[in-house]
Amino acid sequence: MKGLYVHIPFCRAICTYCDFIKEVAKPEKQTRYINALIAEVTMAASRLSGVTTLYVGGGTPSLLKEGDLHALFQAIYAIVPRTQLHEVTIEANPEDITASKAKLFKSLGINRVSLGVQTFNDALLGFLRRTHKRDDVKHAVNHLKTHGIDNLNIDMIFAIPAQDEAILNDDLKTLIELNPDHISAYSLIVEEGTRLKTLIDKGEVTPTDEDTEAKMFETVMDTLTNAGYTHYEVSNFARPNRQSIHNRIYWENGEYIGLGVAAHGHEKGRRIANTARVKDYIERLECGRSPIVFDEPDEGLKDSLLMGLRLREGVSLATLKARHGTDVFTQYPELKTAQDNGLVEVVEGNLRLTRRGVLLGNEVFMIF
Amino acid sequence: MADKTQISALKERQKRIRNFSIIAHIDHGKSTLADRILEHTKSITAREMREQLLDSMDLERERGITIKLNAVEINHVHHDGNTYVFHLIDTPGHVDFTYEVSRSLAACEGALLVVDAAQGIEAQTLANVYLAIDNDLEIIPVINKIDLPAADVEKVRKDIEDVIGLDASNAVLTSAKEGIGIEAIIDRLVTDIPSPQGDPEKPLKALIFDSFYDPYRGIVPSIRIIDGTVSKGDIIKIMSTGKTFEVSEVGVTTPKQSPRDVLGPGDVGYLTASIKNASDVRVGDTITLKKPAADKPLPGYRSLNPMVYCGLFPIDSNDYNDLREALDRLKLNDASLIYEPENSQALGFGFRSGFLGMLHMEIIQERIEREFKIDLIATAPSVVYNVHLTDGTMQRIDNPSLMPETQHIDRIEEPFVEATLLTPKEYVGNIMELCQSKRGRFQTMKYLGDARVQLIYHMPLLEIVYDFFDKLKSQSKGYASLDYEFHSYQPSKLVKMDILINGQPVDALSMIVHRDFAYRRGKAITEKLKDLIPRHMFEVPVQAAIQNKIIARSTIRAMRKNVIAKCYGGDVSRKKKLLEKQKEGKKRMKSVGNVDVPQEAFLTVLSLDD
Repeated sequence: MKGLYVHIPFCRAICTYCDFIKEVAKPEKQTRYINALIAEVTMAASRLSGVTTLYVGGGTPSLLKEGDLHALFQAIYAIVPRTQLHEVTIEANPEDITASKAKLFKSLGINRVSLGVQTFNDALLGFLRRTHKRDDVKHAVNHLKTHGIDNLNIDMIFAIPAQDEAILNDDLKTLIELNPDHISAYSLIVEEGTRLKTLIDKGEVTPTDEDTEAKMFETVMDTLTNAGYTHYEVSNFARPNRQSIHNRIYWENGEYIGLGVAAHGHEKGRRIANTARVKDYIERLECGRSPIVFDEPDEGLKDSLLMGLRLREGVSLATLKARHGTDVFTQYPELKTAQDNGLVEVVEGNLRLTRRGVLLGNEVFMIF
Repeated sequence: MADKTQISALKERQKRIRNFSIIAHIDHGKSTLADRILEHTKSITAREMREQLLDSMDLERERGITIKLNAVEINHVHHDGNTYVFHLIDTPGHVDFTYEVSRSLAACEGALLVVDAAQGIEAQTLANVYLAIDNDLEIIPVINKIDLPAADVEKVRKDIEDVIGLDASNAVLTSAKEGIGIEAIIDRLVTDIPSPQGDPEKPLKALIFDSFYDPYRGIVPSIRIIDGTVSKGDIIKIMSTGKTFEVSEVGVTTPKQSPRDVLGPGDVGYLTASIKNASDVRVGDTITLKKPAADKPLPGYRSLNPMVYCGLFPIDSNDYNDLREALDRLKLNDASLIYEPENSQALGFGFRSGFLGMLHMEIIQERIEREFKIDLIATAPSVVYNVHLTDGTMQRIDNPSLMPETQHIDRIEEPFVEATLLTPKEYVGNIMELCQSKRGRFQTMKYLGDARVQLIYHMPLLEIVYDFFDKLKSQSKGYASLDYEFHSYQPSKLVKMDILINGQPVDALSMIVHRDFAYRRGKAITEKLKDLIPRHMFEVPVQAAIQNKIIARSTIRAMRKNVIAKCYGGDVSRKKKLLEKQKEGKKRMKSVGNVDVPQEAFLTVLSLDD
């Protein structure tokens, strides 16, 4: 498997917690960006051979005009044949999914949609500065299913300030009723430079304490597992055969191309990143220059472990030894301590996080 | 030795020498005033003129205080047609350095007493004025900052008369910042300050009032000649030790070092003599010639004992030798700094170091971190206890972890200071309460004028070392000021309190506390440590114990969650950065057993709100 990630950095509004590369831009600038992106697709043609998954993320790709979306997908398909792609995902905000948008997605060959829902509580949605309401989600899911897109992911956030156990339980209940095939559930991280950080620093918002956060994480894991989802990655849950093919490439430390502003790739043992400034990105491509600003060798075994241990199945010690030529426990003797502390375990030749280790993953990742 | 012509020239010159200091509270404008005098007498060129020139160390500039003394020679052509030689001798403005102040005042015949027109007299100023009066100095009152809207010249004038008992009717009114009144000061220096006494033909007597380290010429003492002369080639003798050195240069500071053929009575300058060690030329000592030698030294010399000790440990144990070198270097210039190797179970190898006071300690720590780039952990400061053992012997203990077992102790004495507090009267209640809570013993209270009160307490130095000064400031909205000096050793009901982290006693956290305060302090420190020590993979108890008996406990609960939530569209670097940051944080902590303890934890005892 080889992935293609395409980044769309535009949003309708900036969420309270978000520190991704994104901006609120006028339609003309969006079109100019899409044209630059198409130029990069063309420029990267040789790197795209063999791509089997496409993931259009953001930002909010679903807010793009029909013409822009159409042009982008046509440009990609001109190089990567549609039939070669096992999974074509787009990230979408629920309020963007009208019947006609769903129809457009279908016609563009999109077979998986990731909905940024985060919570079903309208007050919390307001605090997070999301632009949809609880009821928009149900309509979005209906439109997508009506038009034959049934492989859906719903992104959820827990441990939002003021989100108590009752709200979380209601979120999970509503979520399970919608019955998506895939769920990503992240605990809210307070990032530097976000409005959330400012509010907390000013004392206007109290962050969720570590114990509550841990408890909520456990509630999420237990509730979703009981509802028949497989917890297959630290923050990801799926119905059988519905794990994200594209995202698994990251976790298996595989190959992927990143196109668009601030996009990251992993190609032929090298980490590659594009410029993180939209203006710079557009200007470079408009005069035919590469947007790549970072291109360095990857860190082999360390990367395989950092990413692979996020998968609940863990990493195969034999495969790692074959791939990187070193024995994991010899290279990282501290893993033994982590094992003694009950953070990792070896099961059927796979090194993996224990349930306790899932909540304390960084304590393991820091070893590498 | 000086020849006849030189002698008569020196006698002539002596008549026109004026040696003076400036006494002022921090921020009352001493350095600015010194700069203005230098400017006015055209002593320095614009290029040499850096703001607040006399304060030459970076740290001094930043903190706006003078730590090391400096002296400068100024040649002033007066409007009476004569050229006068001014020696401005700068003094440190902090209680830690009272002895140095007294020695630099002893090098003068006069002093400018600078009082802020808006603030009035502070305790530190008062203490230094008394030192000046003790040294028989002619004191010229200067009321500074008269340009401020809050200036109240008459009130300050009355303050000076009421509080110090000096006639302030002829006080010079100035604004150093605006350059007002500088000429009037210079007139008064010429007319009011007596020329130095002293006989160039008597055996040499020179007072050491400072010294500094020159990497090429060794320790260079700053001296004031009382009697006799000194020139290049003379063999000098340090009177307290009898050590002799050959003089390679004599000169004055203008403010750069300018060599002279000879220094005579009244001169303030320096000499170089390949002196390797700062302890050979201690402040207050007398320099004479090997032959003829003076029969007795100048009065007032005493060797200073450190009042406050702490352990200094490198965070990275590989820096141990660098830390030793840093201390050696600082010691070259600072005879009052002492240190010896210390081995702590918790912190590894470091140095037990003694200081004149808290500021001295902070300055040394800051200089090590800044100038030598060594990350330090400093343990909480301790005073020196006289521990009388049951076998009749006495031990001096400056490190709580070395306190003998209780059953061997007959009694413990701790150093008390006499603290002088000046405060506006409305805060007297607050301050008395504060002093009581710090085990102060009330001595006297006296009204200074209508609005201000002087309180005198005998207080354990230990309590002052803690947070007394901060508390004093907060209890008086910043208006009260403090000065203190060692008074005596007094028996106290003191006990050693151990702190246990995860069941292990941590030697670097042991402290001496008064029995009556032990529970409260034990509770406060265990609570504080609970907040400072990060969560671990396991539950960590924090306990306070006296003689193996637990008196307080808190529990750091086990870490529950620490995992990166999101996968950032394949951006691995971001995840790595975050992990590196967490790793870095861990590295800056000290491992105590299997618990990572951050540096701040070792200073918690200083900031307890008990």
